[in-house]
Amino acid sequence: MPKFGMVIDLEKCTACQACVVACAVENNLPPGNINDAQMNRIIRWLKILPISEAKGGIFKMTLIPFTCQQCSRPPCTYVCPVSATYKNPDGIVAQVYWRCIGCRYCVNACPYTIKFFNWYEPENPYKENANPDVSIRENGVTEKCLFCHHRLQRAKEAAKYENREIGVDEYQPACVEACPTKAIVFGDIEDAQSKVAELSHSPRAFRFLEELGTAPNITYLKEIK
Amino acid sequence: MTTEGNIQRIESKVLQSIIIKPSIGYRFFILVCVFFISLGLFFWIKQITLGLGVTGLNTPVFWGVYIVNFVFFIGISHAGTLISSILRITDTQWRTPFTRMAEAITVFSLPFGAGSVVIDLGRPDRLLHPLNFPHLTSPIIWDVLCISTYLITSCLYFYLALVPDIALCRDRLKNVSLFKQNIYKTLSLGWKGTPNDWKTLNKILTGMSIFLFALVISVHTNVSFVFGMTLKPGWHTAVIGPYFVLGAIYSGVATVIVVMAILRRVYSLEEIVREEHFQKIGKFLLTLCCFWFYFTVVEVLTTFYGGESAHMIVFKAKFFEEYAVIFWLMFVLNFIIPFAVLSNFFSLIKHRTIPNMVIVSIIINIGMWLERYSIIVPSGARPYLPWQTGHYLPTLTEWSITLMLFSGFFLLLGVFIKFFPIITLWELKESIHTSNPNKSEKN
Amino acid sequence: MVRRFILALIVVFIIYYFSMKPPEIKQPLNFNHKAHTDLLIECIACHRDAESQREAGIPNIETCELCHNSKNIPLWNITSHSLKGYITEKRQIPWERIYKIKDHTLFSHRRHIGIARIDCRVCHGAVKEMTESIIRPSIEFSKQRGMNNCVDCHKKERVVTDCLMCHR
Repeated sequence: MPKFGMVIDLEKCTACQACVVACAVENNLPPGNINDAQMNRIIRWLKILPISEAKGGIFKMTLIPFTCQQCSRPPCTYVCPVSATYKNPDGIVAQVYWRCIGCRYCVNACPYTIKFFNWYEPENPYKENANPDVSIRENGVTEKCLFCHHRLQRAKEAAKYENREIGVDEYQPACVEACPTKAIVFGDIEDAQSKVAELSHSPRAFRFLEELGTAPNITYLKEIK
Repeated sequence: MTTEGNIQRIESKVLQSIIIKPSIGYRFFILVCVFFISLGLFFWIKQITLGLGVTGLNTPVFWGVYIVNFVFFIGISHAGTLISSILRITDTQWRTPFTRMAEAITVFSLPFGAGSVVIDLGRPDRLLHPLNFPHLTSPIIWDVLCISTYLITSCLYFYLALVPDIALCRDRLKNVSLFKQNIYKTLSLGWKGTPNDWKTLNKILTGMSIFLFALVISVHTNVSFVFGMTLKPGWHTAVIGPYFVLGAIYSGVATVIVVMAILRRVYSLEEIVREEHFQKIGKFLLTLCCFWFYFTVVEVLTTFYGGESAHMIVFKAKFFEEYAVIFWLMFVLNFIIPFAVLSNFFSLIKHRTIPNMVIVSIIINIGMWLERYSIIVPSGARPYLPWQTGHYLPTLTEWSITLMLFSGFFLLLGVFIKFFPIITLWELKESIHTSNPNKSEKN
Repeated sequence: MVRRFILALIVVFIIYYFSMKPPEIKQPLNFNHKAHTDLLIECIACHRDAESQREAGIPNIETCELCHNSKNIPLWNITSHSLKGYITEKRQIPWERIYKIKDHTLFSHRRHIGIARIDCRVCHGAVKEMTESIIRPSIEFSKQRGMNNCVDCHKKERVVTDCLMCHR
């Protein structure tokens, strides 16, 4: 079984936010309005995490594309009372909107605060142009990045229909495709030949809140100073 | 005066509360409760149709006032079980006048605790999912199991202890409406008061007390596990279990004092619920107050000494920043004022009088509500990663629904006292019987 | 009192039962499946996407025209007046959709027919014997609705039971 992971090279990343837009469009995310923004209720599965430092009178801002870390030991899945969120066989932390009761326990349990709740019936400006592979979420459920799981499904289905193995680059999440500088690399971490596996062992590699024991599958590569 | 005559008099005094016509004050009280309940229902329907966006909750602060209410109501429900079951096992005498009301508070506050969670759900239509598709590693499932067991057990316990008194009502109250007479007839289950009946009842109640004792501890520990099992700074601590249990009992006992003092005044039960009873329960409250202080210090000191960065951010928010007002107000209301009053701290005059204790108890309940608030909200507002830190202000919807829960609780209590005796008469009789021979010896 | 209550319950149940029955849907044309399959035309000849796409697809007027406006069956030979109208006017027949699946589930015909090779009959019933238009879902379909039935078969056939595969 593959274990999908991602490497984000902060040296290459220009924080252009193309990935943010690609993600939102691919997954039919509501664009949000001014009230949502005021209440901090905008839903972006992938967003830019600003980390500001002030050292010796110099202010420095690092902008980091941040999405669900697809932990190997995800704290959110343990606390769900109805198994709406769980670790699926592909190593993706899944969320089933139709099962979710909206208790928001998983969102609280997530140390990255990167799961989202639909506070209202989400507006859908996409109408018939919405991605048919992804449902429009309902009012009162939690949602999160699924590593564009529908793309994996499509790739698997096509491969099986044509009776062959799934190709290496056949499955790529929308954010990876959209990245103009190829800062995001995606693939199977367990496959030692893959570029992801190689990069995730780079000396520049670090992971967020690894000390909590969540074992995230998204690796970041530090900027070269 | 003979013991029998004494008992007769007490009985008619207590039953008086059922017979007398409701006063204007009582009617007004019921009306206010009904008003707030309908107001809350209106807002609740609005929330169900529009979504949880009508609350002040937002992205880092996912849990707010509703969860605070949940913990609070489950908390005050612990008083009943504690006073009537644990003190029954240890055979403490001063509990007798308080038992009935304490149990009533348990039974009537639990549905509102459980109801708060339902109100908090994003999809209340999927309420039965946790039962149909339970995921057993979730503390919420543990809670569902614990609280439903607790609700059923305490209802049964409450009812069984009520049966002899209902039978008494059936036999004594012939002038009340037919409706009430029918209720007494049905609910008394043909109780005759034979020695065999008493033996069975005592056996069941003692057995259940032991079971309830275990439940009291487990229920509120489980409520705390909902927070303690996550990695959130401020929640993820081992002390949160006992801290919650203690806090629950603290606010519960305070609630019993308030309710009992009001009923004593309204139905002039000074003879039955005597000053000494209040003094004893006041000392008990003082003990709980000291324990509360101890747990708070332990928790705060551990966090501070560890100095872990994420935990310290929450700690600072609570102590000095946005939530400092709530935290320090909570500390004053929960410890400084109650301790000063209950321990006769400025011992020139005696502070531990009944009116003072009522005020202190109300203060404690407000303080305990704030305590839950200051545990739940700041941890939400200060997540691990430097996202835009959240702010949370409850909206009108949340306040009205909170008011609805409280008035629902008071309404149930108010209706109850018009139907059933507010003092466990048979236990009172027992205690008079057992204490009287001693008195005559002394004399 | 009790009797009246029971009577009321029975009435409610009867109303409930009848309201649960799927309503009939009127189709614009009377389509005879049997007449077509008797000519040994396979399902997939008209429902062309059944093997390769998510949705099997309802044939468009051009598909009808392949036969009904050809040398074998010239246009003047069609007995159905309305079909003639649709073909001459080049209008699509407004078929009503019968088989609907809720938005949150994903049912792929490709997976079930193209890959797993399940007979259409398993869900759609004896369409080959039908002489009139389909106006309500087949009994087989109604029986197999509900997630438990899906999961039962998936377990029996030892195929994936990951929720995310069907729920999106």
